[in-house]
Amino acid sequence: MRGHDVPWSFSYKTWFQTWTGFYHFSEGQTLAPGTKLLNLCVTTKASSGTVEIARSLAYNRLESLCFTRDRLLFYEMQKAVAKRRRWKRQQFSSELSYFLNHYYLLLYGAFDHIAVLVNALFKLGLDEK
Amino acid sequence: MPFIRGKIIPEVESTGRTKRAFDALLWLKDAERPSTLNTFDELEQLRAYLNHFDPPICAIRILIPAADQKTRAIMNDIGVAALSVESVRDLSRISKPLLGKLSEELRTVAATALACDADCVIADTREWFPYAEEFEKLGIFLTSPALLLRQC
Repeated sequence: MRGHDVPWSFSYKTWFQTWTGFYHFSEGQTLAPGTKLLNLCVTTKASSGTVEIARSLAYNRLESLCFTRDRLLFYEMQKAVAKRRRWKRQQFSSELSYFLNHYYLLLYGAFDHIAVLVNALFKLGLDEK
Repeated sequence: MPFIRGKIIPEVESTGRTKRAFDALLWLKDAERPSTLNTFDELEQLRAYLNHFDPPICAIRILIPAADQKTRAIMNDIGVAALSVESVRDLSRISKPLLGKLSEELRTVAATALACDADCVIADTREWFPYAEEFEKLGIFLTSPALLLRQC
């Protein structure tokens, strides 16, 4: 019941989970490439700064994207309820635009995040800004 | 919703009322299938967790057509509480173009789902799934038991 702030993973059942923990349990397949990249950075002895960039990408950024995606899906479900009940002026446009804006910000940030990581990994020497 | 100084700003314009229960209407021909039983067993654990919250946050309701005694008995056996709903023949809530595309049985499924405000119809008849688009136009998600857990 993601839209109601109750994180629940069917694969790994834990009460009162945080969202970060929840997505690591429930979206293992989605997050696997990020975790694999982080492990690769650690095993190839990349600099601590580079590992930190990979860690924040795998453990913060991707979960936030999943969370925002689920909020958008939740409001799509709520829109379907309004449609069935023939409610007027129940378009959830405020909520949807709020989370859609957030989603785009996170997504563009993810591209920046990856660019910074590639720059650090391959020692390209480009200015981060 | 936006927070300023730790307080929610009550944005009411262009918002909506949230339904706090997820209603799944079961229309199963073979509820005894092990994978189906497993799905509902998993779901029941989430329902038990949701029941633990006081005051309640949200709920998942399982709806079974009254005529489907077999599915009802199976759900009883595995301890899944379900509500009984009457099959509806009144098709007035379905538009004519959509009616033309649905078989007699699917019309009854759609009308029943609309009458009981089901968020999704859980079916195991594979031939029905190409009609998911028509159900979506009615605001109903038609899916298989395997995908039910992804919705929660």
